[in-house]
Amino acid sequence: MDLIGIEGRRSAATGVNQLRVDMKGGLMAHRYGGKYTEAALAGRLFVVASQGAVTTTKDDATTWTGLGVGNPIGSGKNLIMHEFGWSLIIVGSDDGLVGLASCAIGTDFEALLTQRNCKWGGGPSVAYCDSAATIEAPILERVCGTHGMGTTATEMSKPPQIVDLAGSIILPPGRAVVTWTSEIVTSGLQFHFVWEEIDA
Amino acid sequence: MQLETKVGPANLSSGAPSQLRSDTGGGLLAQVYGGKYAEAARAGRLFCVANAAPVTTSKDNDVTWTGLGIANPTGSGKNIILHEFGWAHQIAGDDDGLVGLATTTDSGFLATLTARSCYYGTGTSIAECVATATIVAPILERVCGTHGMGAVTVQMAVGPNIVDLAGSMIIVPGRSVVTWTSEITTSVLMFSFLWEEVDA
Repeated sequence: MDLIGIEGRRSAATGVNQLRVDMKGGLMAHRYGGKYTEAALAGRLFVVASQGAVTTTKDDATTWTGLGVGNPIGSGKNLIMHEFGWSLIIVGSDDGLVGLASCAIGTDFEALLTQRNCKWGGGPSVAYCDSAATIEAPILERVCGTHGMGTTATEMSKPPQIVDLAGSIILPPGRAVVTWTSEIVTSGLQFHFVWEEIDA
Repeated sequence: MQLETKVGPANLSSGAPSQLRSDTGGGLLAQVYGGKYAEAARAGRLFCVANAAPVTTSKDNDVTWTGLGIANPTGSGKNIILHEFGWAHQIAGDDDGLVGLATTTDSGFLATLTARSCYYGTGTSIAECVATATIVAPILERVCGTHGMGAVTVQMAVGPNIVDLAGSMIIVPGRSVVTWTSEITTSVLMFSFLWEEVDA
């Protein structure tokens, strides 16, 4: 059966419409809505944020601190990471790089922080969210920006430092994603993650 | 039923029917057009609100809160889908810190600011928008940038500081979203929200 469309814009208010194509036969598709709306309305989208400025550990330290999301072994879910945000709350105590690393969830990663469904009442998450744990050596996977020591008396503001991961990190059961800084930053940074949970 | 497409460009005149076009791998070729919020705006489901003047913001999780907030009143029968959050200094800041978004209940909200339809004259919002209220302690969910104290004579321009929430926050009846700053700022910041309202 051929899929047939009609070239050109129409003005159809309601009812059944034929598909529209461009002059070369390509389907004309009107994007609509926010890309996370469907997952959020369905209760599959979750968020967690640091509830205060955290001290971060250096490089691949296994006595790690920051913000991390882990998918516990046996959860039956995959975690699709969509967004990572970070900001300085005060003047940085050192300069360096902010990134994301992954590691095995290990035994010390726990549900220390409360993640929230992006639709209130939309069901629980399987994730463990932690700000301090002894983890297996993380491997840096994403380079997300530079934190400096610039004085807050110079800059009016810094734009949102939000990384659109767009589902490019999948955490199967037993894996975790953790914030990574090249240097120790003392009580200066806060982070957040947005992710979706689907059956593994 | 097997749906079939055609490889290679057509050369269609206006109103001509055509098989839909695919690439050599069988993928449907689609030309995406239009703004992602145009359909919701034209249908009268898209709304916005902004502070009318710089606001003094409250600190951290203070329940005597000030900034910009949107509540979905209990019993509204609607869900609010948040699409965008914007923030900016109007004048030099008086303290440095972090800007974020937090959620809480609808307690303390009144419709003191007017939500505007993004299609003038079409649709009426159910949201209650305020710049000050006594609220239930909010929980920080998103980290959206750093505000500083830089002089307005140093930088030509900053931003835009606009966060594409992309529908990743659903405010159900009885819940709200409020701006969050780690420190008190005095009559320097202004905020805006863009959202869609759909049946709950």
